[in-house]
Amino acid sequence: MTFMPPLSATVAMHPTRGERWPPARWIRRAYRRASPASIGAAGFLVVVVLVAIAPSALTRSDPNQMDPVAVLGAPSIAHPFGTDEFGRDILTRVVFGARTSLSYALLATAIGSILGTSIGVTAGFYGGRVDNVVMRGVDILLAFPGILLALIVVTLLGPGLTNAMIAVGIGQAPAFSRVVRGATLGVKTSQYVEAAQGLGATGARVIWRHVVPNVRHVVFVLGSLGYGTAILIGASLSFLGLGAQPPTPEWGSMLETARGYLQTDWWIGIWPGAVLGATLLSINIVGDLLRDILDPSLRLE
Amino acid sequence: MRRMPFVLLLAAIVSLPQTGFTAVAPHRGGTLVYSLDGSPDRLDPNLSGLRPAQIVFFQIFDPLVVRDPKDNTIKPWLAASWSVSPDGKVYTFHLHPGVRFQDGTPLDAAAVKFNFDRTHNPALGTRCGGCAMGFYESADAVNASTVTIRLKAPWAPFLDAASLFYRMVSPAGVRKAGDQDFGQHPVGSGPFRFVQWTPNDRVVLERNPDYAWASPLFKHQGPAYLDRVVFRIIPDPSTRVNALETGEVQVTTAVSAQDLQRLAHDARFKPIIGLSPGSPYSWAINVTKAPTDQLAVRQATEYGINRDLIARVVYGPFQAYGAYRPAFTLLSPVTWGYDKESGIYHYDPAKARALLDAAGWKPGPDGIRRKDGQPLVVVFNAWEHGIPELVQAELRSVGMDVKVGIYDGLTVNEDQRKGESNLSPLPGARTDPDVLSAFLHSRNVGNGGFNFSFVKDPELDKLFDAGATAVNLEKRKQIYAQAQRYAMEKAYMLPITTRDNVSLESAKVQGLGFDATGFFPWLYDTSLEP
Amino acid sequence: MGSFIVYRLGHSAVVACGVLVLVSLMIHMVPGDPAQLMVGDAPVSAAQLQAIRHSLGLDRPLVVQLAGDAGRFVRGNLGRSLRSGRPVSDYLRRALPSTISLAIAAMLFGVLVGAPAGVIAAVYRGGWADAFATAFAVFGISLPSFWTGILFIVLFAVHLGWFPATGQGSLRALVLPALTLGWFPAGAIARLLRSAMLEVLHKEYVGVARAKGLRESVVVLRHALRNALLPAVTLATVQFGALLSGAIITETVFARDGLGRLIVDGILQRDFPVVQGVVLVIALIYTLVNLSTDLLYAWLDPRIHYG
Repeated sequence: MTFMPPLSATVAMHPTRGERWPPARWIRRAYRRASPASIGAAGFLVVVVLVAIAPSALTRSDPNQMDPVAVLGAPSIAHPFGTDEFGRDILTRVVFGARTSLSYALLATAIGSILGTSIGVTAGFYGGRVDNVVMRGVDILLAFPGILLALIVVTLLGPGLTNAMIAVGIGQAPAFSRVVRGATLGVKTSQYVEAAQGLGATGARVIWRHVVPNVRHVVFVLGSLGYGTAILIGASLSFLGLGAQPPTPEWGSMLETARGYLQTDWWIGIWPGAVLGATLLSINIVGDLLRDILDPSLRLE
Repeated sequence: MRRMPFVLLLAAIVSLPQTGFTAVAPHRGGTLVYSLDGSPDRLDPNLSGLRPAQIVFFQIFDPLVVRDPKDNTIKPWLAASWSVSPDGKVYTFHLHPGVRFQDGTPLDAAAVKFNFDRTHNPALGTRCGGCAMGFYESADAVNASTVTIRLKAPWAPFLDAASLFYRMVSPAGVRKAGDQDFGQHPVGSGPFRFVQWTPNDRVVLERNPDYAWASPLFKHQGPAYLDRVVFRIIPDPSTRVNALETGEVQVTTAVSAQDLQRLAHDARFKPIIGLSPGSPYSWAINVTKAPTDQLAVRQATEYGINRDLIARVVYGPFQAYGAYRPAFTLLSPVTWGYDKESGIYHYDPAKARALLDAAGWKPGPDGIRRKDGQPLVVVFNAWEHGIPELVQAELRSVGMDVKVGIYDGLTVNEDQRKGESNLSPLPGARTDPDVLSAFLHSRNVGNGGFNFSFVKDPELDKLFDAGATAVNLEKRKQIYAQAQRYAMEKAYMLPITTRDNVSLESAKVQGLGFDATGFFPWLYDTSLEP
Repeated sequence: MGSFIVYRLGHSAVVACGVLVLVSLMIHMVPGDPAQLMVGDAPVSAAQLQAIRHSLGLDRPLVVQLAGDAGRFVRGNLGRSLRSGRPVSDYLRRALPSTISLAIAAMLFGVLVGAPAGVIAAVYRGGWADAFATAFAVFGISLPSFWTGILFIVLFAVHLGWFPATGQGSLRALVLPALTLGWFPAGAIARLLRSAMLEVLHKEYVGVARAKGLRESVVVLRHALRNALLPAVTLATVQFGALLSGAIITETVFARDGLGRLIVDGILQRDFPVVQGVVLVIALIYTLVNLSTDLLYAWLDPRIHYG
């Protein structure tokens, strides 16, 4: 449930990194590694993202339009996915829900990766006492189960998906900082960083120009893993009543509502559940592919 | 000729209990498992006001008197008889002889005095919401079986409070466990005694074999039929119903509409419906926060929601049982003092629009009304889904932008206390119309009082004070009718549907009744067929 | 090795204290008055609510309350629940075994089902066994547990009647919650082990083992699995911490007592002492699990040294 790479994660650095134009190598590797499954997953994700960007292109109706006459309608031609407890079209809500779920998870991952990377790079680069103090703080944060932290932050800031995702982001930051710190330690000893420092570049400049670009791929890979978890935690917070607020369509809260109708009106839960599952699966597969492409030596060991 | 059906009906009613109980003698023995939707906090009538705890400890502690749900009158229980002084300030109770607490100590006048003094000890921090706070003066044991309660001023809801909230605890038990820990080791005089409590899991009670002082309103005398009662704490509504289906519990409360529909006609189960008196499912309308500080906006809100539709969509299957019906008044129809005439707002979107137009709120390009550049935004908080979504959609169509927040209890409460929500939900299960003073009397504004409409209206205060102290029942009724009409004309509160007890029981359960609140089971008459 | 353990235990204590301080500060800052939740459906007057707050000591200034908390902890007293007056240690004594047994059962399921699934998927890569194992893993990591839980109850408790839907104490009652909670780690372990095995199976020493004419099962189990196990063990222990998160949902769905339910209720009811107590225990478990992970590591991989 909680996304958390191993504590002892170490990252072996690619010795030739930064010397050639990487994208060419990545494309070649992507071509070699891609399987039908990963192509399918990537294709599905592209569709979901497009739908999230422009939901009204796919369906013209309003996701919040209620129809008291068509409450809990089974799938039909007018409503291919059926209608929910207020007579709202489930297909439309699943489509609009993509935007909510994807964009909020993006917010969480952005917060987690930016915060975590800053901490990790700083600790790794400066080392010594800074490293010690910062990483003890990270340990403390790591000792909180993700949902627990989210729960406390949400009660502190008030319920709602935005606050929930801020919480999830904060919860993911320690994991990012641990791995990024490891990567930074690897980069720090490389010749060009030492050379830059020798030429009198300031710490901030070295970090920004030389360290960050070299740990970026680690962040991408972790981000792809954390992204799926953020969606899942968002859904779990909806279960605890701390997620999306009405009338916002969101997959997690749709699933939560549907639980009560499992034995009577199955279609309410099947569709958001299937789309959520397929999206998480695709994110996982694409994340694996991304890891293979960007850095085959990145192993969680 | 015209009298015949009435006589027949009367005969039928009179003969009902006999026919029901002479035909099949209730089976003795067995363990009833009753599900609770939340954890009890303390099994102490003075230190808990929470429903899951009350459901449990109402089996352990008896009251002096009891309200008969059939005719809304007060009947004897631990007090065999009582009298009220003409000025309404002194109540004299004559106790049922020979009553003993489960620890063997006698329930005499001294024990009753101990109980009243304990409830009104300010240092204890009593949770009792319906007690005579501010009115109680003293209790005196006249002799072993007679006790008088003196009030500082006449307080009409006293007997009602005595029927619900004043439950007799064993003074010896309190002294042994200490005030704070008594709720972990409760000792009362009720038909069941405490055995064991595993937090977040179960509370186990067993039959009190010496029980011989049941109220005459019950169908039998002597010890209860059941050997044991186990209360299982199951927070998730779906799981609660599933546990009923698997036979892990025999009674499950707070059943959802779709589950009731699914199982009501299943021969293995029976629906139980308890219609609840007091305040229906109502929202406080904040008169200090814009835009609901304007009467027109409040009235437009009242006119703009279709309560019939809401009840049908959200609580559809309950309607056939008369539960969760649309509510137009501040007291639910089964409450003593209910005033039908005060239900003046019936669905009329045209009128809602006209009121808003007249008040200067003009529709903007997006359909949301504006006045002086300010959009018509109303913050609507709630504890649960269903009603909020529909209210949001309906008020949207008259040009109001309703911002819904569905939060946990304390978050809703925090917004209420700070006056940050325009509409916020209220509790309110009571059997006396005095419950309204908690929501609308000016003394309950701020400091955690429940007047979340923030109404300080001398007119209402006067009515509520008069209603609480009036001794004559007819007079009281008139006063509360007047108060209800006045408060509705000013649109201080938004009643939407009634809020009732919808439960399911196994077909094996016989004789499970509910008290006058509709929520608290009487397990004394209950038996379990093998 | 001994000094390493002592050092790490000291480290654990520091982390646990830090967590406790952080949570105490946070929970007191959370808006909401616990006294309001102790009043039930019959509303109390404003004056009465003040009396309740006073009886709980909630009307004292925040600094005084925090100082009181600190004093308690120094004396080793976890305090009493505001809501029920019951000692927090009493709650923990009951909840801890319940959660631990759930977590262990879930982890057992995760390892015993996830690991073979991963190995089989790798060995029969591309076949139907691989497809089946992968589908199993994927469902595990992509279905929210509040959904799988109720699905299991409806299927295995209501319709098939194999297991009870709720409760604790018996092994049978543990099955469904453990499945619900264990599916996620099972899926994660299966996926990780599959890719690690694929990697290892192409390594030189495996080729050498094969060339020596060893049976394939021996090659897979003795040579490949041992090397692929390291990341899986890490993942498993890391998941152990994550299981506590999952327990929050699982315990609510299956009506089990446990740390997860205790802390959710504690936070929602602003029952400060309960939250503090549970967080302290979770932090201690977490650091101890980490310590044992590192020790397990050293045992599995002799190349790792601690000094």
